Amino acid sequence: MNAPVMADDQPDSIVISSVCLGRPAAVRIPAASLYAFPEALPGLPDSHRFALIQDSAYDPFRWLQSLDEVHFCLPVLDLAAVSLGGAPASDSAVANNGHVYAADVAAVAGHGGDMFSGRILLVTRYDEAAGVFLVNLLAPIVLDGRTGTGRQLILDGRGYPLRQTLHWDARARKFGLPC
Amino acid sequence: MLVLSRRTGQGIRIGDSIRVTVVGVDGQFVRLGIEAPASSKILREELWHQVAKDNQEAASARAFAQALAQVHGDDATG
Repeated sequence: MNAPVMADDQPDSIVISSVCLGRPAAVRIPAASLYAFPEALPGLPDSHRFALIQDSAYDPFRWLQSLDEVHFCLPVLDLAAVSLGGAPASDSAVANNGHVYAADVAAVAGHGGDMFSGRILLVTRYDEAAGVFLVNLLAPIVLDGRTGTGRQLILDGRGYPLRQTLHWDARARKFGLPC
Repeated sequence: MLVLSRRTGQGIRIGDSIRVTVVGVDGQFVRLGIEAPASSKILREELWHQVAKDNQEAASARAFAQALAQVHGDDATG
């Protein structure tokens, strides 16, 4: 089911129908926030086009709304919005700061020793039973604004968890790892 | 599905640039050595399935919006 793209008079943006906030709503998307995923995300084989939705009212969350399957909308966090420092020292899987993590992403993305210059997004979800937000550090999504493309990497063998609990610091307005 | 029998030390080639060798067999475990270009993505299959399941659940979760409203409600009152 395709997300209906509505007629609009602004060529540098489009208006789409999104379900990201739990209800269908029309959202204006700048053309620069549209990304093609030549290789589909695992589990979403028919979604190759996504819109990155940002709404300051819901910072720091973003959403990747599928334009090919309107019922799929991935909540994500920019890596910059998550503090990876302060993890328990005994937990080597997550005892990395954001720079180390970004370097690991760059290595898997094929950038060698160079830092990945694109945007790193972490898939987020809410565990209703535990009442906590979780973030996927195992499989970040990388967006390349220069080419308008994205892909999901799997950081196999580096010990990053699929579901890492996050603590919300309302004062800092930033997520971090629980101490 | 193509099924081949190989002994330890034997291998197969996939195309011109990928070689898979049986390094050893221990009970139900088979150790494989894989030589492939760096651009080839090699993953244990169960890992891919875990990420796929997580993506599907994250992309479909309606509870997220409610939880988010709670976070921002806490912001407003805290």
